[in-house]
Amino acid sequence: MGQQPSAPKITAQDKAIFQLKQQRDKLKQYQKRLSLVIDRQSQLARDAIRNKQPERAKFYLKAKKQQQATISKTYGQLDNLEGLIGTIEFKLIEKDVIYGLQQGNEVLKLLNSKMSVDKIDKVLDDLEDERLRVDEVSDALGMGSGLTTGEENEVDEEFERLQRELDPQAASKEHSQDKTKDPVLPEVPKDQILPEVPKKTPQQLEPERKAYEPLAE
Amino acid sequence: MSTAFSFPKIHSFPPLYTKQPNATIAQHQLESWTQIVLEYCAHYKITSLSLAGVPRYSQDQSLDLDTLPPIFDNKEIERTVNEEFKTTIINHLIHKLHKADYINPKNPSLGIFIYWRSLTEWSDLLYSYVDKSGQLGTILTIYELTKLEDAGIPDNLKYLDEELLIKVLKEVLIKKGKAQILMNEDGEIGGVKIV
Repeated sequence: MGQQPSAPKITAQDKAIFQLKQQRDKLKQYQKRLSLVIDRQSQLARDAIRNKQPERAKFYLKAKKQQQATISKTYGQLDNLEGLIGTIEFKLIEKDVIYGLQQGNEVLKLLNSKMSVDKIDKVLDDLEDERLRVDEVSDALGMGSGLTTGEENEVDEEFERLQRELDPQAASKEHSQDKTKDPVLPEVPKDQILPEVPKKTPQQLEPERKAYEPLAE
Repeated sequence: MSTAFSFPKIHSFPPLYTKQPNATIAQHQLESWTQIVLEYCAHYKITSLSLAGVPRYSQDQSLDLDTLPPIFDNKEIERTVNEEFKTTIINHLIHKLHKADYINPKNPSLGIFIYWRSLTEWSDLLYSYVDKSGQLGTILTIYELTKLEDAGIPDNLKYLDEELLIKVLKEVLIKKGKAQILMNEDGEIGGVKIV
């Protein structure tokens, strides 16, 4: 008995939902009961007609109508209950979301307070100081920082060489792209129009240009 | 409607119905009977029997329990298990095999639960249903876990005997700290919160 794991807690809201759900269950059971009654009354009415008891049959049919009206009322109530349950459950989730947002906000505030601009400036300054000290030590030891000018030049040269190596390829690519574009379009008309086009173009082009010039004015 | 349970051949074997004097044979006899009881109950989804071996509750709502073939009788060979032997079989189920339990240990005459599915297996089914339907941490009524038509209860859990469900909750899920029960106005367990 002693070491039972802690049981989930039942809150006041849980109890309220429980109450509502119990009401819903009761309504559902009531509906089930009524529909069974309706079925029986239809059967009784049928039997009464068969036994030539019209008054009796009408009585059962009236009662059945009454039950059907009640059932449709219960649907309205059920709708209310389900709606209320849904709203409460959703509000509970909203409450959790807001709580989560608050927590997140707190954490963010805390983090921000630890990262004031002054502090960061100081840290960066310190860092710069230390770096300078490192350079000083390196210079003192005659190692300098990074590459010598000669080495820097070699890097530049290699870069240019690589670029030259790559450039022609890029250029030829552009050409090949042009070529692949060109043949597709003009070659088809060339086959048919070639013999006529070269003769007329020099003459046609000139008058056309002249013709456009006045239009442009 | 489900199909009728076909009893194994041994159910038509007359000596099975009287307790055999030889201990080894009697042991086999008990094994046969308990197996028949478990298979019979699993077939008809019967979760509890009376002490006389009469079905008390089935998950299958289309079933008419009164018309089921009796377990401990065989009219064709005119044999019936007597009360004393029935008690022996039931005790074997409860104490040796742990495949049954008194519904109320303080009042054994109420009958027994038959565990063709163990309490842990039932709790796993229940937990995975509540989990998959996104209902962990919400309040659920016992009614909506068993009988509510439009709740989307899977077939293997639907119409589970409320008494058995409560036993599963109490003996497995609550002990694991995964459930808390709520009492209704009548002082009975009416709802549960599973987390």
